[in-house]
Order: sequence, then C-alpha cells, then structure tokens
Amino acid sequence: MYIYAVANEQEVNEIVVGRPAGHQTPWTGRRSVHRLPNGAVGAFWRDQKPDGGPIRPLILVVPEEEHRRLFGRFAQLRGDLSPLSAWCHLLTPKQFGNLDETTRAAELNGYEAAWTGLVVAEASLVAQRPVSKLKLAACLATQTYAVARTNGLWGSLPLRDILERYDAAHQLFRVGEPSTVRVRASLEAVWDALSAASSADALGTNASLRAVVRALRTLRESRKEKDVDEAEALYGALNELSEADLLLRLTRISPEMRVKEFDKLVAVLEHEISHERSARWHSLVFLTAYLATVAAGGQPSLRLAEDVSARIPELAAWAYLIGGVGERVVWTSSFDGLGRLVARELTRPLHFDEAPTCDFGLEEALTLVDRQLSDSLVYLKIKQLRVVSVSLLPGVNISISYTEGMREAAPEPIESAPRLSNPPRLDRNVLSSLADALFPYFEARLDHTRNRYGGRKQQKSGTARRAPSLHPKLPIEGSEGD
Amino acid sequence: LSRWKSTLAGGALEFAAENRIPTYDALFVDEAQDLMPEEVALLKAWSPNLFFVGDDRQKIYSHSEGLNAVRTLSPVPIERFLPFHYRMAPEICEMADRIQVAEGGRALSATSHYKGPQPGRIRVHGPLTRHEQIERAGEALHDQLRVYAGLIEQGDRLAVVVPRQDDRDLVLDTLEENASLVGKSKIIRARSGEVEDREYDPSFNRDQPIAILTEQGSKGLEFRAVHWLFCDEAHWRKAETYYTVVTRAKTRLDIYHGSDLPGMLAKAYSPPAGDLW
Repeated sequence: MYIYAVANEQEVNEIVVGRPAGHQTPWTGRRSVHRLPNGAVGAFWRDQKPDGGPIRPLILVVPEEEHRRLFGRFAQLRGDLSPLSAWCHLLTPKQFGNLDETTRAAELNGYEAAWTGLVVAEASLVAQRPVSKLKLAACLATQTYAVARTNGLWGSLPLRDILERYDAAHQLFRVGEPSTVRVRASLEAVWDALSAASSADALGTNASLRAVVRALRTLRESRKEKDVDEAEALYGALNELSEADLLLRLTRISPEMRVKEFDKLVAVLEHEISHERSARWHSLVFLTAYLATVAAGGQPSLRLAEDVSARIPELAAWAYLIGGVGERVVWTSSFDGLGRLVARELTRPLHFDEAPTCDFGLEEALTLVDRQLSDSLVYLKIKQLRVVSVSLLPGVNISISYTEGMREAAPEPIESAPRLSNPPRLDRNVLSSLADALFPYFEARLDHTRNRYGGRKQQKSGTARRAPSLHPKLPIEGSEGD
Repeated sequence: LSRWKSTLAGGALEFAAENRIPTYDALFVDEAQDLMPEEVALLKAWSPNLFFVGDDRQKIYSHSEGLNAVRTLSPVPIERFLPFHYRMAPEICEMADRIQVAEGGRALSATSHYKGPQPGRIRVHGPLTRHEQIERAGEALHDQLRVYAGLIEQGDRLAVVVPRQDDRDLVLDTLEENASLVGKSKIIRARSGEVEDREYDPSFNRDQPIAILTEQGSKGLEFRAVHWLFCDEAHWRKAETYYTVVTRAKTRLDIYHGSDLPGMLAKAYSPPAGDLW
C-alpha cells in the first residue's frame, strides 16, 4: 500500500529522513489526490514495513512556485540530501494527479522502431560518423530521443516546450548552442509528422505535413498486413506528387535503375531546396527516402541518403525512420546493435517505486546553478566523468557531454603554451581523461591507417607486407549456400 | 592440372601404408564433383566419417569424377538431394536451367526460395571492344557499389569474371583509372606456392568489394552481381563452366562480348520483353 501525505516545511524535513509526517491518506490513484494548499508539498511513499524501519519518499509533489524555495532550502541547509531529484522523483501536482499506478508505460503506439531509427539518424548526422562508430550515449543525447521519450511517457507535449527544456539543460553546462541544434531545422517537420502519425488525432497537424502523416500510416498498415505491394499502397497517400508515379512501377525496376531514379529525385530536391518547405517538399523528401529504403531491390541502401545528408539532412532522417515503420520487433541487432539499445531506453517503463536513474532533474538544476561561483555546478555534485544524465521530465533522461560542455564554455581561446625548461608533471588522472576525450578523434584515423595498410598493390602482386585480416576468410560472410 | 592432382593424391596415399597419414574424426568436403578418384581415396584414408557436398553441373575440371568416386566407396554412402536453395533470383535460375538441368529434372527455378533483392536481371552487352567492355562494367559497378552498399557491409561482394589470368591485371588497371572505383577492386586468386607469393592474402576485403577473378577461380563463390567479360574469347568451355559462372550471380548478371555471343549463352539468354506496340 502507498501513502500520500500533504506536508508543510517542517513535515517535509521529517519525511525526507524517513519519518512519516503530514496529513497522510492511503493512495488509490488519481481520485485520492487533493489540491495542495499554498506552501505545502506532497509526499508519496510505500507504507511502513512492520519492522518500523524508515520510509523512503518515492515522489515529492512540488508546485512550480515552490521549486526555488524547496530546492534552495535543501541545498543550503541539508546539503546531504541535495539535489533531491538524484534520489527521489519530483512531479508537478498535475503530473501526479494523472497517475493511477506506480508504473508509467512508455507507449509509442507501434512506432518504436521508427523513432529508434530517427534517434540513430540524428546521432549520426550530428557526429558525422557512420552508425558503426556511434555509441549509445550519443543517441541518448539527441533531441529526437528527448521528443520520443517525452511522447512515450507524457503524451504529445508541444514540441517547442520539449526543445526549450532540452536547450535549458545544455545551457547548464555550456555557453552557446549544443551541437545537436545544427540539425534541428531539418528535423522539426519529421518530429511533427511522426508524433502526429503515432497519435490518435492528426487533425492538428500542420497542413503541409498531412500527406506524409497519411503516408506513414499507410505504410504501417501495409506492412502490418504484409501487403506485397506496399509501394502501390503508398502511392495512394502521395498521389498528389507527380514524381510518385514511380511507386506504381517500382517492382519492375532493377536496383541499378532505382539508384538512377534516386539521383533524379535528389536533383529535384536540390533544385527546390531554397523554396519554402511546402507539402510538395515534404512529400518529395519522403518519397526519395522511401526509395533509399528499398533501393537494393526491396532492401535498404541507406548509404544513398547518407551521401547527401550534408545537403539534405532530413533525407537520411526519413530513410532511417521509414525503414522502421511497421516493425514491432525492436530487439534485433539493427543499426549495428545500437537499435535495440535505443529502443530499450525509449520503451523503458518509468517505475516510481524505484529511485530515478538521472543525475538530477532540470527544474532543480536550474535553481541550484549559481553563475556567480567559479564552479557554477558545485551544488549539483556531479560524480560522472564525462557524461551526465539530466531529467527533462520524470523518466526523460538525456545524456549531456560534460567535458565538451566545459571546454566550449571556456571564455578565452587557448594560446600556445610557452616552452618551459622544466615542465610540470601532469597528473595521471588528467592524462587519462585527456586520452579518453581525444580517442574518438584518433579512432577514425587509426581505421583509415588500417585501411591503407590493405592497399591495392599488395593485393595485386601479393609481394607487399601482409595486411592483418580484419574479415573472415572464405566463404563470404552471410553466404546463402552454394 | 587433373594429372597433377592425381599424382599428388596418389603420392600422399603411399604414406597411408606407412601410417604417416594423420586421421580425423570427421571430414566435410565441399565441391566434391571436382575431386579425382585418388583424392577421394586419400580422404577415405584420412577419416572414417566423410561428408561430401557436390553438384555435377558445376564440374569445371576435365577427368574429375568426384561424385561417382564417392558413390563407389565402401560402405556405400547415404546420398541426399538438397531440394531447394536460397541463393539466386528466379531470372538467374531460369538461364542456368537452360544451360543444364540437374539429374532427375529438378530445375533451379522450381526449387528457388530466393528472398533477396528483386527483380533479378541478366543483360548482354556487345559487340564491344575489350576496353569498352571494362568501361561499361565500371559504370555499372559504380552504381552497384552505391545501391548494394548495405548488403556489401553485410558481406556481399561484386565480381568481374574473366577467362584468363592475364585479363585480371588488365581489368584491375582499367578500373583503377576510374576515379569512382579507385581502391575498390582486388584480384582474388589462389596462392602460387612461390616464395614471393607467400604474403598474398586471398581473403575478401570489405573495403575492396569488387573481386576480379577467372572463371575457374569463381567456382564455389557467390556474388550479388557478376560482370562476365570477354566471354567470347575462350573456346575450351564445357556446359558446366557456363553453368558455374552464371550461377555465381545472385541478383544481377552482365555478360560482355566482342564478337559473337557463345552459342551456349545465346541459347540460354532470354532478352527482356520490350513493349509490343
């Protein structure tokens, strides 16, 4: 059984150290929650064990107007318990009032794989690296992850609100925009369309996106029904686009011809790239991206979209997304094994009877950051080396590169160090951190060196040094039989 | 080559009498149709448990009677027919069936469970000069590297098949002149056994997904797309050789010739139907 208590300042002090206090009632869901009086905080815990041990507050329900006072008070007077959001969920009265259970499912309505693809696409676009070089933290740092996770746990909040929170979290660590913002303009329409497709009502969708929302839903239904000619079904959703005729003859076009059709569509997009983002533009990008997902004779050739991603980033984003539409099995090794990890985080239920997994919540951090101090983050007590996890909303935890942030926040450009006759010895930990931070940049060069090592001359004549074999010998990997 | 193989195997068999042959619990042997009877006997001496896989339609060495030799082993081996395959698109199967049909009439096209890229396609290009043939193949390879990039990542390869060993160098040099194909090709061949060849690595390489190899060297391999160059320049082929090269392609086969298309291929190739009107 769970207890909900309305507590004043003094009673909150008791509750956070494990002593029940305040006006307590058994919690039976949203009907048992009452309006909080001014200055009061709600507290939620599992009922005391028979042994009389301390109760552990699971949720503090804090009205927005109480944030500054509550968080500041604990930071100043009970620093041992601050930040509160590191060990206890902080909810607004509205969020708590909507709870019926202590577990909140992350529901993306069958578009989990599509969102996963979009997260990976954004991480790849931002890092300008192939998927095989991406790490999970890069995916959990994306705007798409924040949007998808918020949609999954808390319904469709306005996109602007989510992005404001995302930016505010980055502002805690750095001056200037996070690197992910570079692709924001290209992805906003994609987020809008996918959010609309996965919600029950698409009427509120921007009119210029209605065709692609219809196309997404058609594609999903078609794949769900295992329609052998999904391209023809898709034509029904995109038939206002003259180029969509291609869909009607797609099954008869060989992969080599499909790549030529793809190039033609890209040429049209590049011609129209300076125009306003109209319904035609969005449909054309969708069509081109769809073609990339079936270019290899029904199988994806995402490299086609990646190759033009510097000019048309949304093309790669759509291609990664479309490949996942209709796919319900999200635990495969898609995206070089990254797909299942991202999907796992996107769909992870939020358990309020477990401690949060973030380092701290955004609302509390905004209160505790003190720009007047030399270490403005001192009250947040960051104990992670390079990446911190910040909760934008309960359960919506994004990764932020902390080292990078501090570097970007450096006020002055670094000048060449003067040569010293007796240079000081660097601390081993500093060197270790430096090596870790630099390694991703070396990694690509090391790969390049390895590739050069297996150059053509040696392969032809066989007299050069032998390259280390990075791949299995005969038969070919993935052989389908002889 | 057949004589050399027989001599080598016969010589090795003499070690058996002196108990100098290592033994194995079991041996799995592929491409058994091209074994010489002496080689089958040698394998029998090596292990009491043998598992052979072979297809007489892919027999490319003269005088090899591998499957018949296997059938005469004692005790008589258990023989099973593989009733289906997954490798080739129906279009490739149909052409292969017009070259040779398996014993018992089981056509490749009737037993195909292919689920790969579609549609499969076969094209014949010619007459073209040798240089034009390589250039034309290079253009197609450029597109195929792009469109099959994902499959290449997963292990698929593209092939240029030529009749003679010298042709491989010509093809490699010409493809290397194509800016979009620089560093993408590799000659795949057997090691020669010479000291200076010891460092040659015949394994496939994902960064060099275009394999250049001879018709004989292509046996046992499979490629998403095959470009068969100079196919009219060799006159020693048997039906099995045509069949073997055609069936190396999983989805796309391009055949290039300088004069007349060899009769066997002309008979087997069915040009795509154009519009009637």
